[in-house]
Amino acid sequence: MISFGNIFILTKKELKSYFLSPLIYIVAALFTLIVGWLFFNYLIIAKQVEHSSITDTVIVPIFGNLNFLFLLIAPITTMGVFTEEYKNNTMDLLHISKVNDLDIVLSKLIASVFSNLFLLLLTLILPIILFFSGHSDWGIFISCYFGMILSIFCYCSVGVFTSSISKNQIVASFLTFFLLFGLMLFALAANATDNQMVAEFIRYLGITFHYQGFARGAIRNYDVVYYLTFPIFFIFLTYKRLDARNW
Amino acid sequence: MDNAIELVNVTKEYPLVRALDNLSFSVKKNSVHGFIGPNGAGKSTTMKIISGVTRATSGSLYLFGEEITQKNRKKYSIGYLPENPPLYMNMQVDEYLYFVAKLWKISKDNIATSINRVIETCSLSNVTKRIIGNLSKGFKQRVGLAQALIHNPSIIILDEPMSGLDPKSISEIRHLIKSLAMNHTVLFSTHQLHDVAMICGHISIVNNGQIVKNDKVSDIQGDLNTNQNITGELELLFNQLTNDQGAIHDFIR
Repeated sequence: MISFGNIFILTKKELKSYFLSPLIYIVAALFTLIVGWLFFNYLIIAKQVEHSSITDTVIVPIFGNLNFLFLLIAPITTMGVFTEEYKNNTMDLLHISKVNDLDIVLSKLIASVFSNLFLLLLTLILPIILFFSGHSDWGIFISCYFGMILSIFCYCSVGVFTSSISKNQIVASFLTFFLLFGLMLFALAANATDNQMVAEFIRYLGITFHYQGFARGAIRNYDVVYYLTFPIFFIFLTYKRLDARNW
Repeated sequence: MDNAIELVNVTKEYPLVRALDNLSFSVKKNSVHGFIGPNGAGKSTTMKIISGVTRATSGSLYLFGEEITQKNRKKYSIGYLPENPPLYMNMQVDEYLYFVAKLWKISKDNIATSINRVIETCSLSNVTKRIIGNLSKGFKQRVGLAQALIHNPSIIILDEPMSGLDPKSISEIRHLIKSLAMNHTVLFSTHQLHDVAMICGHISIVNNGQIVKNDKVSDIQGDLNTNQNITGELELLFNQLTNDQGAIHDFIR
């Protein structure tokens, strides 16, 4: 049975440890630098391309890049969520106290999603700049941000899982990256078969396929279903992993 | 039912290793029970099973006469101090104790009282605002002990609580453990036979995952009758039961 009180206590502790660590600020500095540089470049390109909209030349490509950036950031921000607990023996404390394993997993996921959303929040400067330059297509921004938030949930759920199966932060972050990158490559793997059904199925498993819709401003129901089932699957795996630790 | 803890034929298997082999023993209510054995004998594994950190491969654990299953595992609040205290190194001492109190669902009205009680009991008043990671090993051990006592548990499991402490702190912790026996059941492991002789009413000696002796300290003293002091007798018994022939030879000589 999930206890929201327990989740709140644990999430608060996790967030505090995230924002007291210099790691998140170093990542934030690098992230804003890269995003700012990309934005500036896309704006320059947009000026050179005739008969094209800001949406096609700036917003869609920048959110495509953001998606890839979070694929690199999520492994870094989630690598310590369980490995640190193992290192400090604090998992024993959590195990014997009144909190249950699902509370622990959900609080870790929520805290890591919030830390990534903090970075995403920094990108709000982009629509603000475009608003003051006269751009008014808000639908695409809402769709892109919604897709980004769902993608972050997926990436963090994989990161939390790999952190639970490893006692080493570096191993956990590499595992997360390769798992996510592997899932991204599913879009290419679909080209390897002539069977349309198999190709569609493989494409469906890849995260990129589902994100593309959001990046173009189209929110499709099967994309939302994918984005909801994906983290649930990894939450289940992490929960089972914690449960197996007891045996 | 005067047993607070009872283990019956408990076996714990890890890949390629049988840590506990049909281990059975009991701990009486409101007593201090010493748990001794050589390194790798199964002391920590036994303590982990009792505290609920891990589960036995087979066998039964009873707390106050009730068999512990997955469903009622969290019914009894147990204070547990593992060999390496479970500490969040970036937290302040008072902040950590507040967090642990919340984990144990201590009511808002009682949290401050509980924290103040353990701060006083474990002599932490001078370091409450210090970051745990910056504390000395002895103080970290005291903070670990404080977290084990904060929810006033009926059973307290202490895995080598005196390790890393200076002689003054050891003496304080010894008195603390003795005082706890009035209202709590304490099971503690140590390598210091002197501590066992001074604090415990009962002891269990474990070797190769099995209990080789489980008796009152006074009875053991009577059985051996070697005219040694109790610490010396315990040392002889320990070496006999764990087959340390070299140590027995040295001891007799």
